[in-house]
Amino acid sequence: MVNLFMHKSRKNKIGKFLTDNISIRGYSHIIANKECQDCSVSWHTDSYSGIIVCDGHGGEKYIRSSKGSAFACEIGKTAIDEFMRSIKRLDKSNYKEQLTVLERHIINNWRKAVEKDFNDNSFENDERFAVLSDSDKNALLKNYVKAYGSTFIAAVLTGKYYFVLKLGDGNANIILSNDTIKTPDEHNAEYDEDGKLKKVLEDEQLEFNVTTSLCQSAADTEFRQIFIETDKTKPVSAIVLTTDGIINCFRSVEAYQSLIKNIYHAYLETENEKEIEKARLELANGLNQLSEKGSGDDLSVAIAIK
Amino acid sequence: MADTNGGRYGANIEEVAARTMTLFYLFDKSGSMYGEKIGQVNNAMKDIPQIIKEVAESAPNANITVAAATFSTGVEWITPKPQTPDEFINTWRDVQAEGLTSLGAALTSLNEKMSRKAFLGDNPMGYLAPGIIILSDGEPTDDWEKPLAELKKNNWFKNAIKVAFAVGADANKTVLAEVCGTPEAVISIDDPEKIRQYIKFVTAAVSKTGTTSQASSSASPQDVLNQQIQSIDDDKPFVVDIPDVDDSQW
Amino acid sequence: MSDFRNGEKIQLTNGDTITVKQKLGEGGQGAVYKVDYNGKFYALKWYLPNYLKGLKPNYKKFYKNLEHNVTSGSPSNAFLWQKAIAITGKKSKGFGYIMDLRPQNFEEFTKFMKAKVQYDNTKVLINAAINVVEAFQALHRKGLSYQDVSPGNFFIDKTNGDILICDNDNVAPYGENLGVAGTPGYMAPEIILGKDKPNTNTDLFSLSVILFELFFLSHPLEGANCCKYPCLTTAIERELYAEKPVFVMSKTDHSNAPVKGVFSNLINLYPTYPEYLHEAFEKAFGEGLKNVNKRLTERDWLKVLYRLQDDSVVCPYCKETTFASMVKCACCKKTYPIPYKAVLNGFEVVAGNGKYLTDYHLTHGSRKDIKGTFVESKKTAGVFGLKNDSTIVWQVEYPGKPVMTYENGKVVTLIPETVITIGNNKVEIKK
Repeated sequence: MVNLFMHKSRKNKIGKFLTDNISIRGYSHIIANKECQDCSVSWHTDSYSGIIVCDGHGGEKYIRSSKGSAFACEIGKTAIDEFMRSIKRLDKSNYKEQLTVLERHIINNWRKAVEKDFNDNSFENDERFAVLSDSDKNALLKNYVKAYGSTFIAAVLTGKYYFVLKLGDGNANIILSNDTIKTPDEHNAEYDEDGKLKKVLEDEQLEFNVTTSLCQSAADTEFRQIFIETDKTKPVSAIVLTTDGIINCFRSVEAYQSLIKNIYHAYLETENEKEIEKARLELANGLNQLSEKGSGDDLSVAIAIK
Repeated sequence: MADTNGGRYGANIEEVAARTMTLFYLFDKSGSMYGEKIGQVNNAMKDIPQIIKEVAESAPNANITVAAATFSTGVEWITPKPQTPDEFINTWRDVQAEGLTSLGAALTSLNEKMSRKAFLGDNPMGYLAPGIIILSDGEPTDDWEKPLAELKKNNWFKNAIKVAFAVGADANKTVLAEVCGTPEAVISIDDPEKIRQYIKFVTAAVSKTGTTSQASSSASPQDVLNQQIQSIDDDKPFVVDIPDVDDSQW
Repeated sequence: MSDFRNGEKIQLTNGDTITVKQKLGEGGQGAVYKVDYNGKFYALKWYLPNYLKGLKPNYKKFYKNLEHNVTSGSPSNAFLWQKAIAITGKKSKGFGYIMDLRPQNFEEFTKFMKAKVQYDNTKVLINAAINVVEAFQALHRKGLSYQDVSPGNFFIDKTNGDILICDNDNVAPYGENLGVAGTPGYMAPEIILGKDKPNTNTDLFSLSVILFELFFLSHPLEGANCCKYPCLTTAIERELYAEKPVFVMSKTDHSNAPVKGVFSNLINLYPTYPEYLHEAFEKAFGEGLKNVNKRLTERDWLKVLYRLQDDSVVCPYCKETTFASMVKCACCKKTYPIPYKAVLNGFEVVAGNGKYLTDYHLTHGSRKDIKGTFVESKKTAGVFGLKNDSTIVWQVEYPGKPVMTYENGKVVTLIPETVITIGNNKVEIKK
């Protein structure tokens, strides 16, 4: 019996990778006249593709979280690019130390950026600060970094491997060559002694509405990473990152994954820049409706296809 | 306003649905609650549906439902399943006080209801962490430790936002603190007049915390809630005087 | 080369045969299998051909060293040692060795560093530190030293601080060079700079790094300086660990201080220990960095660690371990009633459950030789006595009272200014 599964490949084969990203302002923010607090970035070179999505915190006292997420994307991109250009070899034997150094570098530079912004713009003249409750004001005066709090997910896809760095909620989707979707932990497929899937990237405490963040003093211990060498046994076609507003629109993982697949196919079919732009606009439109009907949250998507 | 033509993503947009947060109320209706105390509870519960509706309005994609039970000699669920605020208005009947204080039985029953097969549906993705509000004025009269140990294994319970009211001088704050996991989540009410006010305040706080995506640093929704409750400082100093030589004390 | 199949038989150089049961895992150097040796299970480490190729031209030296290790035996119980060498035949395609299987109760040290596993309490941590120092001591007494100390080789039992050191194929007589590449950050600066070969002094450097990581879950030379770079290249490592190393908690040079948000464990844990521990690390990573004679010896470290043990107290409020010399509880910051202490021979032992007066305090003998046990009053919590567990009769003079005798089994109530005479030792009870 002939095996009829089709290996889909990109129509637009100009360049080794295709990357794109979009962040839309959530419906609840539109109503409340609040800015978009999500940020995203995507880029590629001949040797690798990089995608990042960041979700600035929404609570009252996070008055500068849209700056925080913007810094995170910008700094993440610079750091990752420097990393990819400097590192001679990344493999199973050294990825843990090297990725940890990269994470620290990102936190360090993000904090520096926040410090500079705070020094240039104190809370005194900030009208958003003025309208906060007393307890929120005190919390920020004690630790101004909190005002900029944001989550951070980055993925790098190369010909030979991919890695994901994750601090906070949000989702990473790995699309395999046979058109199926897995989480990085599922793709990693390591099990503990009880036969349960090892949660390397995912954090159990992220269920039920709690998230970790760049502004935490323990950010370094909360950062998670996963590194997977792709080969014939673990072939990968694409990675899609989303901020948590998207999965919160759905009641089942399957419904969410069906959206991810749709997004992937839309980009797969593009043959040139113009069509990529069209795909992005169509996605933006869809996301706007999703936010209105669902979580009301800001939504971001970033995609990298081999 | 977004273009309503879903296009490629039409089917995905169809799938979007709201998630539910369930508030569980457990009321002690033992004999000692007779009179003003149970009167305050009855009064508060009539106002709860309106409060919940107001909170739900500002939570863009969440439903809030109510499940209430009383415990005295046994446990009785007033709501056959979690109800919307409107349904609850029709279901609530004033409660009469009488009987013992079977906290253990209440915890066992709560454990049973906080599951996919009972009150929390079969899709965990459809549910936010529940809220649990317990009110008691006395010592439990049954074994509560084993039921609590079992209940603590329940994942919903672990992640639930918990608050307890210790009403009057005879209420056992330590037991309630054990149930909530921290003494910071226990509110002492000495003046029965305050019962109604506090139940309403806590209802608003718990449901708001549970339906807003709070990205806090190390503060969990429980911590956020605890901060909103007054904490009683329990600072009894240890004093050890220079002892006597007493060979019998070893 | 492909893996061994289950059931495959391999020879040992001592003539016996072992049977492969299953593959347990694989690392950068070799693969590990569970094997059956005369009815008992052991672990077989079989080197990857690429690794052996990388050892050229020291390949034969490495093998000879393995043989030597097998014959001379393990320095102490803390080591998972090579028991016999395995080959595939006379013209063996590579080789390996067998060792005991690692018991289940040990966790990887790296897991502790990532806070995925925690010591049951601080006492366990101090035990683990003492065990590490004693293991290094045992190693040096045998004339051996490490070619490559790596945290990946250390395993700890989180309930009692027992340790197990594995992958000892890189242990050799000092002065030898097996050609094994060390791990940057753990190798002494002089080795990285090519100025010296592995020896006792270079081991002392590695020991102080491991101790720092045991306590503070962070590397002593990794602070602001290492956050400047997105990745570590060999050039950056050289600078950080050999050419321009700066102690992260240095009081005089703050250039490499820990960055908030990046080194949270270090920032939180460092202040919870007494000054004398800080001073020890300041010395080890201050003068001790470049001047090998200023490095803390094993005896120096043991002195500090024993002092921590004697100083330890359990806070009655938060139940965490704190240190009497710090006055306020290191964890919850509350002021609590500090138990009285026994002062003798320059030592101060604070009373508490699980605290002892030992031969170490009396005659610089063994700490395992218990001469007195602190006991808590059954009538009044917080009141302690000292039970005579020795064979001598104690002479006890309570303030303002005539001398009384306390024989074995009797308990002296601890009252400030009491003097207990134990043989030649004068023990004073102080607040």
